[in-house]
Order: sequence, then structure tokens, then C-alpha cells
Amino acid sequence: MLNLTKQERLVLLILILIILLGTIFQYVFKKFPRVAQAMSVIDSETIYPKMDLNQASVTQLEALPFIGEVTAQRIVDYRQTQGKFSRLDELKIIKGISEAKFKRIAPFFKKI
Amino acid sequence: MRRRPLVSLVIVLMGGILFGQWIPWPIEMMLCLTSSFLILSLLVLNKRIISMAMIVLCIFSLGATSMRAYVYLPQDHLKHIAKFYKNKNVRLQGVIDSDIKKRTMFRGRKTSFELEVKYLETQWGWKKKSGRILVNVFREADVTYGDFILLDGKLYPPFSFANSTFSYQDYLSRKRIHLILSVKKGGHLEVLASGQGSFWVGQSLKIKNRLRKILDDTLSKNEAALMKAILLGDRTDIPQPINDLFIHTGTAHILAISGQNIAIIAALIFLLIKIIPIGRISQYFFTILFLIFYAFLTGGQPSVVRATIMAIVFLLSFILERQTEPLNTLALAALLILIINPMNLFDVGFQMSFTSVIAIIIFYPKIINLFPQESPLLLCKPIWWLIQSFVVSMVAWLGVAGFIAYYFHIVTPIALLANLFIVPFMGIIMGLGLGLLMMGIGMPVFSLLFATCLKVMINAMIMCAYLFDRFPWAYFYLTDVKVWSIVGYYLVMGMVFLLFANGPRIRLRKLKQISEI
Repeated sequence: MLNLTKQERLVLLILILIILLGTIFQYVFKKFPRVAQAMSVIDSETIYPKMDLNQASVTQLEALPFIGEVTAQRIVDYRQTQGKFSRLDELKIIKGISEAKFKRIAPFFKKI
Repeated sequence: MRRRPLVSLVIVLMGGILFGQWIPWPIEMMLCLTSSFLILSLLVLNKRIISMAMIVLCIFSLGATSMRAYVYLPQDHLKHIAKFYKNKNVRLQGVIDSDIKKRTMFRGRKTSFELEVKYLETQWGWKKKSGRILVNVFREADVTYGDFILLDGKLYPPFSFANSTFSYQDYLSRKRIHLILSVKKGGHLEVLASGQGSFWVGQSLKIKNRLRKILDDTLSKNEAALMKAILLGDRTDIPQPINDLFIHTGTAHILAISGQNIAIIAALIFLLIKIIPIGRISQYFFTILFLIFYAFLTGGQPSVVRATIMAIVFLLSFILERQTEPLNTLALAALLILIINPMNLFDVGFQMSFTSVIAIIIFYPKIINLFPQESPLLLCKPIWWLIQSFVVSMVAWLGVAGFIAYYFHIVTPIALLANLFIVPFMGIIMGLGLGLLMMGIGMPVFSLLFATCLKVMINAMIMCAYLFDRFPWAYFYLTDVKVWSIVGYYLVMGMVFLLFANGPRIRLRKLKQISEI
């Protein structure tokens, strides 16, 4: 039979607890996506000061959640070739920014 | 009375380093002086006071000598001839001697690394040169640590920003970097050979990249950036708004690897090693080896090295069955760090890391003893734990408040409360993060479950920091902080310590006497 010390039993229990909690959280986040979204404070617009879409540099855009290097570059390229954005909606024209993605990134920008 | 021989030694050494920095006597003169004092101290070994005086002078001049030796540039150093290549293109050959950093710039990427120069192309051909430079390549470059490369670009000294307590020039010179090479987008960069660097550094960078990948694959961009700072000492990807939250709440220290991190890692590794059927002493040694490797992996920052040395001394005390003395152990850590690089004395991370620990060692026992141990309220463990945590947080904050005010021009009264909540989060996040890395390597099927728990904890901590950030008077910026005001602050702290030095009963008696007058 397993002959574990008190510390080893504690470690084993903690491991089981983490796996169990992880499974529960994963189930809850999949079943209720809004809970996952509400929980994600680090990626929410609450933390970030609203950015001016017509002034932001590539580096500043890339620092925002959900915007990677490629998307940030495309936004700045569009601004340079087509002129400043007159509405936030125009972001949907840019390749790689779908309706769903637009809804996620729009709250990080000031209204135009 | 407790013996702390290393404390006096390191204070004298620091004095010598400061002397060497401010009064740049030639290194030959410093070497002669040090040797003379050493010989004299040996000759008068029987005469206690004179011998001690000679030893003190010897250590003092050793500090100054090591400082001069560290900043000494050999004849073939690139800095001597850099002025002749101002605004001209230079061609160099050298070995990449650091991790590769890639950043997004306007219209493209920038690749940065440190280069150990070997050759410079002159009108007379390739000449052997030495020196360490920072290279910025304004494109994505496919290079790695240990590559022997040929490149061309423009050399210039680092900029120094006016009206700032932080000097980029000094920061780079502490790493022995005196020049920056800018390679244009179309500039030449060719890898001539690979694997020219240190095998161990190369391996540790490979492992670090593997660990970074695990974090990137399982967490969101910002969550991964935070965990890279906490676990791997890489703070560059943390977005500024997140950084600001921690700065405003006086909890930015949790983003630097220090004592708590090392303690958790040591405990975890020791626990895992116990599964292997080896003797107890061997278990301690393996834990020590792993801690040294971890310090290596995280770039050897002063706070990591300090915490690692203290942990190693603590573990060695079990092997050697000797009692440790905290201040002496701290002094040993400072001694080793300063022997390796005396310029660390001027590093803000070194100053704050050691000051906070000194404040905890000196003030914590005095303040905690003020609480009546027999009180039934304090017999309740959670309340006692809360009080202890608050006292640690308070003394650490008081210890570094002066440096934070001087270097960052900010005072964060909310830190006292914020640390009570955020530091315990850190312990859990650290444990989960290490578990995630281990699962990512050993059992990837469970890594996502660890990542999910970690996400919950990270976001709870960020929410906590955000709420404290919103408190009125949580923090305020200072416009002009002079050095003398900081010196005065620490002098007052020193006087307060002396007042408390004799213990609470005698202090209370003294206060009573003063009040009766």
C-alpha cells in the first residue's frame, strides 16, 4: 500500500484539488461564456485608458488585448492609406477584424 | 551577542566601491595600495588594533580597486576609437552574448541583443577589438545566442535623458555596454558560425524559450506576460496600464523575482526531490543546484541572486548543522554580488531588494514584540497571521519608501493595505505557475486545467489591485525629490531604530521618564 508522509498526502490532495477546480472552471466558462468574459479583468477595458484610434501607434495598439502585431500594423496602414477613421465601425473593414473581434476591441477606443 | 563579521566587511567594501567611483585614482595605484595594506596587516597580525585597521583599509582599497578594475577599458576596447567612426558605417564581427529580444516598431520589427565584439574592419583590414555593445537591428533577424555574426551599422553612445533620476547610460555601463550599434532595415547581418557562446547559458536560454512557449500556448497575451515576469524574470511584455496598477498600489515588487518566489520554488523542488530515494544531504544539494540554475535562468538579477544565496545558506545550515544569522547571511549575499559586479551597488534593484530585507530583519522583531503575546485575541492563528503580514508589509514599505520616492517620484500609502491582499495571491499564483510549467513539460494533458485555475487567480489579483488603485489618496506623485531628503529619511529611520534597539520595556521606561520631565 502507498506509504505517504503527511506532506506527500497534502501535496497529492492539492494536486487533486487543482485538477478538480480546473475541470469545474473549464465547464463553467464553456457553458457560460459571459462568466469567462466577466472574469477576465486583465483583458478588460476597465484597466486600460481609452485610446484614440487615430493617434495610436503600432506599439500602443499591440499592447491592447486581442490585438496582435499583424492587426496593429493593418490598422496603422489603413489609417495612412485611407485617412483617419471617421467611425469606430470602420475597423470591421480591416482584414482580420470580424464582427466578434470588433465587439471585443471597440471598448478600448474613444468614441469618434 | 550575535557575531556578524560579514556585515562590517561588506559596509567597508561598499565604502571602497563608492570611493573608487567618485575618486578615480589609477588602477595601478589602487593595486599597490591594496597589496601594501595586505602585507602590513600580515606583518602586524599580533597587534590586534593595528592589524584590524590595516585589514579595514585593505578591504576598503580592495573595493575601490575592484570598482576601477570593473570600469577599466583595455587598450583594444571599441570605445577608445568610437569617436573616429561617428556618423560612419562600421563593420564588426562578434558573438551574440544575450537573449534575443524582438519588439514591434513603427512599420516593422526590431531585434535587439548584446554583442561581444571580436573584430572591427578598418582601412588596414580586420583588427582584433574587444567590448560589449547593444545592437538594434531594425528588422526581424534570425539569430540566436552564441551566433558569431558579421554586421554593419552606425555606432553611437547611449542617450542620457535630462531631468531624470534614471540614467540609461549608467544602466548600460553597469552591464559594461558603452555603445549602441544601429543596423538599418537593409543593413548587412550574416551568421558566420553558431554555438560560440557558453554551453550552459545556451541551454538555459533554450529552456527559458520552451517555458515561455508553454505560457504563451495556455494563457492569454497579458496573463502570459505577467507570468513571464513572475516566473522567468522577463518584465518587458507587461502592458503599461497593468504595470501602473502595481506601481500605484506599491506592489510592483511582486513582479520581480525575490525571496517569496525563491522560497516557494525551494519548497516545491525539495518536496519533489523527496520522492527520489536519495539521502537527505543529497536532497539539499540537488535543491541548491536547482536554485542556482533558476537564478541563471532568470538572468541573474540582484534580487534573485540575493534571495538564492540566502536560500542556499539556509539549506547549507541544515547540512552543516549550524545556526544562521540573517544579517550575516544578507551581508554574504551582498558581498558575492558586489565581488562579481561592484556596479550593482548603484543598481536600484539591488538597493531596494537589500533595504527591504534589512528593514524586515531589524524592525520586524522589534515591532512584533510590542504586541502582548498573552492576549487571547492574538492566540487566534488567522488574526496573528494577519498582524504578522501587516507588520512585514509595513516595515518593508518603510524600508524602500525613500528609494521609491527618489527614483520613481511616487509615494503609495495604500501599499500597507494592498500588500496584505496581493502578496498572498502571489504565493498561490507562483505555485500554480510552477505547476503549469511542470505539467506543460511532463503531463501536457493537465496543463490546461492548471492554466484555468491560474487565470482565475491572476484576474482576482488584478481586480484587487484595480480596486486599491481606485482608493482616494492611494498614491501621489512628487515633483522634486532631492538626495538629501532621502538621506534624512533614512537617518530618521536609523534614529528610530536606535530608540527601539534596547527592547520595548526599556523603551517604554525611557518614554515614561521623558513624559515625566
